[in-house]
Amino acid sequence: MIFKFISRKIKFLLHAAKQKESDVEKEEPEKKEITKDSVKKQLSSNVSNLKKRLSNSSDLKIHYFRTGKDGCYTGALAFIDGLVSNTLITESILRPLTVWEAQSEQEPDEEKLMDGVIEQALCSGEIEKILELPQAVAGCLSGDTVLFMEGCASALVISTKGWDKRSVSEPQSETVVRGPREGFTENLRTNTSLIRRKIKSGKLHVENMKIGRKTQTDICLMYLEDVVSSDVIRTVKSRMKQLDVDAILESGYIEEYIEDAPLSPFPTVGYTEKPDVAAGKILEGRIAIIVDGTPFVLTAPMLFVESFQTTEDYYTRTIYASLMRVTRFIGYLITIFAPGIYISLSDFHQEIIPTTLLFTIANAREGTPFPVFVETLIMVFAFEIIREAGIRLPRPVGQAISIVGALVMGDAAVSAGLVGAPVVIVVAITAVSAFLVPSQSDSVSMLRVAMMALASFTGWYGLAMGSLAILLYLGSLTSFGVPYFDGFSWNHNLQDSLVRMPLWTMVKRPKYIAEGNITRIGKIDPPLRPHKKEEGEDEDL
Amino acid sequence: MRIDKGRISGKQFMFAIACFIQSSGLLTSFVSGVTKQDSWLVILLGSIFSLLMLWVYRRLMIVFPDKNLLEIFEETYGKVIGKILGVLYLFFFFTLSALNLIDLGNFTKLTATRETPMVVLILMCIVVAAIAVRGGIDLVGKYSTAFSVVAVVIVIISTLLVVYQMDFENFLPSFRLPIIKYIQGTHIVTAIPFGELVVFLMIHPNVKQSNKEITKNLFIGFILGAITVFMVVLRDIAVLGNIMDVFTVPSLVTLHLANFGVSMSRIEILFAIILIILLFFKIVILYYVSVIAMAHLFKTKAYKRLVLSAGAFIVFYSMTLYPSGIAHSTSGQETIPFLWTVYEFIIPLVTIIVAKFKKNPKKQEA
Repeated sequence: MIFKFISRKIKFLLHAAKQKESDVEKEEPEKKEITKDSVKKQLSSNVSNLKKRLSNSSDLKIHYFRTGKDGCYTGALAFIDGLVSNTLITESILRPLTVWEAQSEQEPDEEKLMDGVIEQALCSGEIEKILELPQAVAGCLSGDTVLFMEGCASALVISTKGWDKRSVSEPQSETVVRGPREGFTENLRTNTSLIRRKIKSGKLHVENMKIGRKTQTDICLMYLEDVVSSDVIRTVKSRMKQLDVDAILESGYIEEYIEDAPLSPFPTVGYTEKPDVAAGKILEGRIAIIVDGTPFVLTAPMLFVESFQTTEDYYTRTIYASLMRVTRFIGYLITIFAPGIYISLSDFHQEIIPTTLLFTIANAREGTPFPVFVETLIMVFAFEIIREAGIRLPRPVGQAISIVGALVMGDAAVSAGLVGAPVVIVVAITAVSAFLVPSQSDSVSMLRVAMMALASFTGWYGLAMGSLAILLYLGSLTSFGVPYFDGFSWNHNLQDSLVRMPLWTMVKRPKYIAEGNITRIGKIDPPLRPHKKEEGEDEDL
Repeated sequence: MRIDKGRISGKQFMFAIACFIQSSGLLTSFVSGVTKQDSWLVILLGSIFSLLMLWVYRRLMIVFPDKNLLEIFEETYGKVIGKILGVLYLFFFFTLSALNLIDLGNFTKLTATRETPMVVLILMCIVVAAIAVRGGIDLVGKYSTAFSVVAVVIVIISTLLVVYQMDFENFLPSFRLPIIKYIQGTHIVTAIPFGELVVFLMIHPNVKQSNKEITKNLFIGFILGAITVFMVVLRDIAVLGNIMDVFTVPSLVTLHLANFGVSMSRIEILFAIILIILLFFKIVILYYVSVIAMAHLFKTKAYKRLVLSAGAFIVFYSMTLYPSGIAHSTSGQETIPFLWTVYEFIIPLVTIIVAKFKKNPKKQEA
């Protein structure tokens, strides 16, 4: 209570301070608008001003040139070296400008001269005329070239973006046996084009925004206008617009800022590295949030079931896909509960274990010094260490780690009498099962330890209470207003949860996520009944 | 006016009732201690009397569709008597929660953790229940269907597994007990597991349903629960016979006898888990109702702030309620049914009669 009270006070103070600041900011631009921010007629003052605004950085290149008949006009190009494509500048700006001859011998009238440059000289598709210097700075920083002319109180921002980028390749985190092998890259435009190529619909809405005071990261929302739920899109947009932060370096930042429950162990925003996954989610009415500089695209809202769905479920045969999905669920349960169940069995309920197995376990436990809980905890922790090390270490060393993991941690620990063999088996199964559901792997390792503790205190009662708590917690979670645990409630979302029903039965888009245009497939001949078709043909004859 | 803004559907309401009945019915030792192998008859009679009681509740729900029990009292008896009745019922709800919590603790101590102190078990349960209560009625209602269906499935499976142990001579000798025992047994069944449905009068304003659906949901839910209880009792008698009253939890002993090959022996743990889940559900509903009643008496809408304090109170109350398990079961068999009859039957009945004579609610004509 006290904590709440204090935090509310702090929030209020912060809010008040912010308001004061914004008041001050509001007053400032009115005074200085004309004097400081606008582009002036003198070329030199513009250039020096731009330099100052970019804190005299050495990678800002200024290129002076002369154009018009006999070079009667002077101008300058400003760009940041490395962000621009030099060939583009040469081909589309400099070459045309050197050969351009102004129509008439006119005084450098700002409007006409600039329009002439745009309409007759430049060969670029993306030119924007600006009047303010901050726009020029932003253009420079995002890889555009700014063109000033002597005597013109305006400037041109010409798109010449061209930095080194990775080509589209197979994603490391989501590999498939069957299905497209392309993955998102770090480039925002490449990513949007990858999705656009999957969904060629005019209703696919793309919305850009810039977030981050310092990083000015480009962020792009993509969704199907006629399918997306209006509540969800309103929530997402309002949360994104409120963001006033220094930096957005990866989509994880956005995820944490806009999540419903940032402190929960369960992720309520999904992510993917594959365009076909993102397209599938968009088609179900979700919103894709693409952040420049990372191949991980966020999808919102996310349901709990989505962690168990993979793209291949929809590309392989329905029965096999359903079987695999059930396997994933069982794997998920194993990876949370297996150590807990083992502890509760060996500490409290030995009578359930079949007698022969009981003897084996008792034999193994005889030589070990620690209680089962401690033993299991050590092994689980050791596994987490090996896993973390395996991710961070350079690849050649990974081999060594796996040998250490397999031999020292497993075999040697048992023969040295530190842990019993059954514990090693249980932890091994637990560890392998965790990889079946990669997107829940964070929540799993926390819940597992909690379950182990509960089981070691109160046996199956603890496990039952723990799982009830998890269920209730999942039931109370929401993702952008959509109930997180919804895939298991009694509506048509069930078609795509525990099992993956045949595609032709999934007529409707998921409930709560899609709104309007609910039906996703038209009337099709049911593939299950080919003989009906033949009857129809007979009638025709 | 509603304190909790959440709504549940009529179907969830129905299954919540079923769940509520199933949970208390699965602990049948109250009855089997009195009537032994004739308990099935008592359950049947109890169900019939309970239908009468349900009719009273239904009537109240229809006459006051958007008022909970305490609001109904205030409207019929005026502010002062209404408040007094409200306090009495708050005490009733707290006692019910505490009693069920003790049941849960005793059961767990018996089956799983003999050496763990009771307060740990109770505290764990109430902490988890607090999550559910804070989530509101729509979170609680969400799981009613699943729990109830799982309970029915488990009961059916376990019955099939003990088919070989059943002996129908175990029902004999029937109808040989003194008649007063049957009356006592019926009274217990009506008052303790079935009559506790009165707490749903605190929940019904949050249910989206028409008058017709109220009747349907109330009765189908009740019958579903009663049938489960009936099946369990029949099964236990068929397997154990008249030694049933020796055991605290006859169902566990029954399932202990189930032997499905070597590797599947001792499946009573499954039963124990589902029983714990059902009992937990019942405690959550009672706890929720206590909190709502408390919020109503204190005239606050921020019922979530009361959750933890009410929980602490329930824990302490349940720790001090009975000195021993024997005292608990004696009072369950002899004292409590009489006390509960007042709360569950007489006061609602009087309320509905008074409401009719006062003719104050205009909805009655509509």
